[in-house]
Amino acid sequence: MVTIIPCLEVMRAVTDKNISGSSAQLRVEAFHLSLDLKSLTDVEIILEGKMYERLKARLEDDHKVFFEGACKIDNSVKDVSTYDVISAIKWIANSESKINRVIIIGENTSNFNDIINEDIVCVKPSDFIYKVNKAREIFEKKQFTSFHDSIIAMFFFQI
Amino acid sequence: MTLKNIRLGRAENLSEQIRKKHNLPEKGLIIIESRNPDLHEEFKLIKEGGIRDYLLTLGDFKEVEISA
Repeated sequence: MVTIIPCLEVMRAVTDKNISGSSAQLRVEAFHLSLDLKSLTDVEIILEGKMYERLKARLEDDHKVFFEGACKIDNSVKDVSTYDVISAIKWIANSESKINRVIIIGENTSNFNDIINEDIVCVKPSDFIYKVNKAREIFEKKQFTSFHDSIIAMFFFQI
Repeated sequence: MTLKNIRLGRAENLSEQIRKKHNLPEKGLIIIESRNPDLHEEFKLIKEGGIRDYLLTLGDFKEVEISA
């Protein structure tokens, strides 16, 4: 299984009333592709709880039903005051990586340098989109027997 | 009607009967909305990159600044 964790800047773009600029569009596209992957293969999307609490200020009730249905809200460190969103995402990613591979989507990938390993990657939205499309392409060429394997290969092995 | 839950799915995994009933294509990301009080399901096709458009059909986002 693969766990995808979008960072705050990605979710801010998704829920921005007045979205503008190509970077913001890429962030929205990356979130869309995450949902697409969830519908296609063994993928879960986690929204960090502190981040989601902040996003909720922008959401109507039906939006909340959507995010809480499509994503898992992880409140592991919700009441730990010393954790900010980035350290909370690191904690969740480390925890998830014991059982799943983890893809963090964020603009400031260097924030996560200290937790990157063979099971955790952090990619910019543009790289995420490129790799998912490439994984789709190599799966369609039958280089892998499952789409899930081609996703794993693209993100966690140098191919 | 109140939106109670949503499920993500694929049109290709639905039966032809359901696709025909809801006027869905053979492939694509779909969202199944369940509403009540009258139990009611709606199947919505989400076009490529269209998740934000879908979310806006549920209502406008509030203009609230969220700092980093």
